[in-house]
Amino acid sequence: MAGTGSFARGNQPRSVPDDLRDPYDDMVRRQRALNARQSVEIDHPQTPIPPTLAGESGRGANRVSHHDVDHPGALESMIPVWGSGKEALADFEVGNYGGAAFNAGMAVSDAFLAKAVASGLAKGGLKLAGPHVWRTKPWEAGQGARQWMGRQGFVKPGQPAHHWIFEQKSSVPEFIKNQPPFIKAMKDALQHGRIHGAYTSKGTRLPPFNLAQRLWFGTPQWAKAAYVSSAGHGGTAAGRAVAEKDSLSLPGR
Amino acid sequence: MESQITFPVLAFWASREPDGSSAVERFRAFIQLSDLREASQRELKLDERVGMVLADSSGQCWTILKAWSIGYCAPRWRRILQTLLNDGDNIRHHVRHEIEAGERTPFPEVQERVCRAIDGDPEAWMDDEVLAGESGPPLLIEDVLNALKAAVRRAATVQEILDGLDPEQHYPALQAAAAAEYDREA
Repeated sequence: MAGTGSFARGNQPRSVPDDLRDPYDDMVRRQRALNARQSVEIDHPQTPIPPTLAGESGRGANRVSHHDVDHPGALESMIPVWGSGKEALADFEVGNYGGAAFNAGMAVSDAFLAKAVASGLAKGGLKLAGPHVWRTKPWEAGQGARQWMGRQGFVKPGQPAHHWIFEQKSSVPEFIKNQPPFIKAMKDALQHGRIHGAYTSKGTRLPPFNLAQRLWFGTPQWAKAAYVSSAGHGGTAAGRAVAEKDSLSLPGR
Repeated sequence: MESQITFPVLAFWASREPDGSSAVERFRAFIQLSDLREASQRELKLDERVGMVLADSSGQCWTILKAWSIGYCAPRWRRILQTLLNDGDNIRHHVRHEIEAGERTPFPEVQERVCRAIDGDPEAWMDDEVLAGESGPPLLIEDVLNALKAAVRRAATVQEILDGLDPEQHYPALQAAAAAEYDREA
């Protein structure tokens, strides 16, 4: 055995205080626990949950969860209301309040869309049987699209109806452009008129709506909700797919 | 009695909602006897033919006392298809009527009755995008209805009334007047 090189102590070792012993032991204990968990994962591999776009990194499926609600998977996040609602709860639980607010907004948007679709179906959905012209003459058999929509409750008496996606003068077939999803019931003639240009009401000439106003007033609720929901769900799912791909390509995962 | 009617005839009836509420007098026309002898399922369901008053160019009037179906116009497969397409109300029936001749009405009275029916059902004449100014200056529905009523008052026969009741033929003049008005405002 090599000596200590201390002539005074006769080449004998000496005791010194070890201040880092406890932290070192703690680190060793935690590393051993981590090694044990990883060996369990290797023995029983399961698909890990990838990180979310808005929240913290996902937890492995076989790790012990300390939360009541897990983040949904990529496909689950696409389910209207459910996916966003679950995501919001999971974000809230981990303290990601920004993500929770965003996903709660998405769930509300989904609910609007679902309500609009259900309401449209309840009123008769689409006008599948002809005639599909906008208006029939009083002596012609069958109802035109406008009369049918009035009777079904899509448009109230006196309410102007706006072709919000395909202009009425366009060459799109009437069977398509006169269907209820593509018609928006407007508040009044003034609102409808200002979508198309300047409009005079009670002697006052009002300017046409700007682009933002045209989009807001000239688009039905369901389309706005569908836009928000599809953009939100699409973004979340894409983020999850990328995260999933990244996590699969990480070494040792 | 149907064979004594001179076509085309105007027909006036009280249009009711399915719950029996809000009766509004509407009008339509039967161009020939075969048109009168057909009715939609909805018309029969709501008894819209019963009480209907027919008026021809001479002012002769008839009242329908009773209407009944004698069979469907379309084959079964087409009726099933219509029902599946949520169009069951428009399934057509062959109908027969019990009709009673009424008193002769002066033609101007018939014309005014048409005008009142136009005012009572403006939706039937609304080309919404034309009114909003999709192609041309915006129009007021009142102006369109006034043009239609003027055409009705100018007519001398039922056929002339029907010819004047196409809003599209009035749009160029109405749009020209509206454009002149806008130019003055500007």
